[in-house]
Amino acid sequence: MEKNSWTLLIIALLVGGLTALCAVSGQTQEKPFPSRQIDFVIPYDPGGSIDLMGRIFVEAIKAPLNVPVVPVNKPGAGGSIGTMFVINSKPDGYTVGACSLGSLLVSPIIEPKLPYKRSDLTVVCKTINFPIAIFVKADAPWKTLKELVDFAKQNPGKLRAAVGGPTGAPALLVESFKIQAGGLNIINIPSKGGAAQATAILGGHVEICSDPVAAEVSLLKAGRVRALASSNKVPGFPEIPTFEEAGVPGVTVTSWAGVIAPKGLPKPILDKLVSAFETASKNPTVIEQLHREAMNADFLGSEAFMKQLEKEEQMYTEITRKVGLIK
Amino acid sequence: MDVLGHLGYGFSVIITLETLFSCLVGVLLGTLIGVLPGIGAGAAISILLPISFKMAPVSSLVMLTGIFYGAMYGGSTTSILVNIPGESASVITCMDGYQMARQGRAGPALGISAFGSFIAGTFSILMIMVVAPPLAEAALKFGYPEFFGLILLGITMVSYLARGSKIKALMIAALGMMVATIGQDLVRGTERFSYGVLTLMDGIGLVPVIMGIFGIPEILENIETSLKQEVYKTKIRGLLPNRQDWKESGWPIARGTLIGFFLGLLPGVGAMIPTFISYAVEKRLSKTPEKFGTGTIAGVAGPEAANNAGVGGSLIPLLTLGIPPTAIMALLMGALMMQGVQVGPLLIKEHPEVFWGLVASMYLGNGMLLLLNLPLIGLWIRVLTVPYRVLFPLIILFTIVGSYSIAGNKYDILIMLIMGGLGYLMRKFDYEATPFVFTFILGPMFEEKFRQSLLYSSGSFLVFVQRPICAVFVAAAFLLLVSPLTGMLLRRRKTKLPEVEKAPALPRRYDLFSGTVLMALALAYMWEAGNLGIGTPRTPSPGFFPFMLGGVLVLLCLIRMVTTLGRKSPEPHFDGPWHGLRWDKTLLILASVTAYIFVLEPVGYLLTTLVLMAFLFKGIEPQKWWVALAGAVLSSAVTYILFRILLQVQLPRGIFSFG
Repeated sequence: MEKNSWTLLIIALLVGGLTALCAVSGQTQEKPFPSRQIDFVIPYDPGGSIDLMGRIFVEAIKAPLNVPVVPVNKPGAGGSIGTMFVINSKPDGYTVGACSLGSLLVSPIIEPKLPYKRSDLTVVCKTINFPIAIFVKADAPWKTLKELVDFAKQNPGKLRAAVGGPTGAPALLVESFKIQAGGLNIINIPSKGGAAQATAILGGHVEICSDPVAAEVSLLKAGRVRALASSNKVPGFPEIPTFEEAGVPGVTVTSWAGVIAPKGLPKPILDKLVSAFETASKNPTVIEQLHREAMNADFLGSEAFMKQLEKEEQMYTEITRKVGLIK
Repeated sequence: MDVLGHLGYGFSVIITLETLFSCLVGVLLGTLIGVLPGIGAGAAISILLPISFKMAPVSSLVMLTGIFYGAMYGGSTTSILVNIPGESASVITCMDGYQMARQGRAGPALGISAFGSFIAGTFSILMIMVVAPPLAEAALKFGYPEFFGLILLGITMVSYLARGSKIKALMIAALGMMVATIGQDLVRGTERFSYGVLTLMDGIGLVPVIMGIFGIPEILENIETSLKQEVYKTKIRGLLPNRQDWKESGWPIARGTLIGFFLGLLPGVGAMIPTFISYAVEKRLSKTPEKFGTGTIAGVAGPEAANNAGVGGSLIPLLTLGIPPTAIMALLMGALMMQGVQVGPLLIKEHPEVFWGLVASMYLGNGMLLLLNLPLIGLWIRVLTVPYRVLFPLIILFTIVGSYSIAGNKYDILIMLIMGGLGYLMRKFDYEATPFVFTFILGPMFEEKFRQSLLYSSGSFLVFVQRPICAVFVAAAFLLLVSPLTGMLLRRRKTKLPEVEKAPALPRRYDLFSGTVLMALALAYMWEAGNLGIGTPRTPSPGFFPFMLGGVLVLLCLIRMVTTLGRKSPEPHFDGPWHGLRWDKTLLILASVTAYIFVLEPVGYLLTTLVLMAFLFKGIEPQKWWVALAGAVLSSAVTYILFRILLQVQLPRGIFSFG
């Protein structure tokens, strides 16, 4: 019996080795891109905003590329696990992935031990932005952002804000708002897990909350909360002002998503992918679906997006340093 | 009358072929997902997402909630049969359910959990109909300090979850909480104890931990001991609970229902925590607490009612306020928005057909589940008659796919395996798994609420005693902590007899050894916590909570070592944890699964699994060649169909671009 198990182990190793050989020798001829299925890696859980964005676009790029495209969820570590998966794939265009403000910009800034930098991958394009807003309860005394700022100035340390994860876009938005409004003293109460902001604001445990508008749409429509200002215009809610319109310019934290590929992606393949996503982002069905999820189509090609990223990188480094997330 | 009218309307909405069918599919799928360890919400969402693009809103919501409560019915099955919780809310069911199965009473255990779930489910639907909106508003009043008080009270109940030594239960509970501190700090975002390892950065997932710590050691231990005989020696006795079982389960079901429902109302509590509380309460109230953990039916009935009532309770904030009870439900709501349905305060007004249709479908679904589950019992207990040498490779395979399915991350399998190794050592040195898991779950919430409360109160500790609800919880926790101590003192004074000490399970040197190892671990952990910065109690830094936690464990270890050294009872005869056992098989299993993890992605699921299964079928226990090969082919093919095709789990395709 003992012998049997060893022979088996040896057989297993042999089979493994042989198949690995086949794998290496099998990949010789290259057909013009794209000739087979493309995997679209989504580094977040199914059902989240990046996932929904990804799935909407996956449906829409099948037609221009004329091959199957399959969403593959690889969630974990704030998007880093899926991003690493893309980085470690072959730069042949058959593995691309979604990226977000967090995975592409913020995590590399605040996490020194992160195993990747932005330069380890090819930035394909930006696809959308999704508005994040500052909410108060419907019966709160502040009708406009200005009134809130005035109150906060006269009552430092009295206001509390539910902001979600400490390094997420909603938390950074509040930090940026506090800086741009002249150094407000508002206490951030972070939390883990979903829907904590809505619970905290409805229960009256905080005065303010910062949350993607998508998470608060039903409360907004029911008149239970009021949005004082938002990072971007909100589809379906033209009355919600941006920060600039509300009188606090300079709050430029906005949450977005885009597409990445492994480093060294050949230019012709990159161009094909970019144009497929551009076509998709002009597709009326796509725009309609994005609006339902309170997102805006916001296309930027590879180079334009890279320029924006460089600008934003400076801003986020500044904000995170000011609030002590990095030294 | 009004409610009945609405309900009638609801039934009129769902009596369509599509909705009935979605309800059936939902509960079936839920049961399946519940039964399969690990496969959970992730699978539910990936199936639902593409479908929900096309289905009517009522139907997709009906299906969705069907999955949700169907999983609660199914989750207990695996707990009872093979000691692996099919669903995290069924962890506690392992304690007595599995023991019942080993005594041949799997039937009554499965039966009482189905009936208990049905009763609890029905109760919570009634409550949803009658008092949903005011209850939801009341639950919102639960702020940061109240949550802290509740969790503090929960944690003090940890010693009720142990069968043996209370101190050892507390020690292992502290270790569980330590493992849970891995990952991002809540306030500063600092990474703690993850050392740049991506899989650790989010913290360790619950599913690999519970599968590893419950399931793997059970398999290894059975393999080591059962060379010839089967694990389930006793004859199967009874398919359904008898009169005596009902008598013992009635009150636990009632109490479990109430506990589950009211705790479930609180956003973020979910269905799992109530099961622990229910178990602790039943043990505390029982006249025979020593029977808990040895297969007492009350220990199954209460928690199983609690998890179903918990699901019902958590639907109330969802339906009336749009506050999803779990992160998973939040994701599913996002999917529903795609169809233009916003679950929230306006749901009843804008979409009465969705709301009342859903309520009606829940009656229907619960009925379906009961009808479905009772005949299934006969089938399930037949699983136990399968020879263990055939059963165990399959169990291992299901835990592997279960771990992988969560995030498509092979390192989750590795974590499951490491936790399995830890759980195995814990058994060898007589530490119990349940306290570990309990604090692993509650620990992060405990720290989160503590720090949120202090931010909320600007650093004032008075917040914990000034707010009435919180003060009651804190006082109750204090009393629970103090009562055994005073009880012990009083008893000492009354009788001269020494405290009735249970015969120690292990000789002194084993406890001293494990105590030393744990203490060394705790000290290293404190050192690392110190490096993260400790801060002050009012303004804690990322290292504050871990530092305190490590200190508690050091203290517990010292207490245990002192009492062990001072023990006067005669040393039990013991040849060592590995004496006369085939521990080489344990090593073979662990090594082969480790190898599997690293070959899985390059080579692909089908081929790798085939080889692993052939090895497990043939290499561990004697087996005919053709049986092993047939088993390997069948199990790889069936799991492939089940997971990849039916449940849409993304399995690695590997070199053949297939699979």
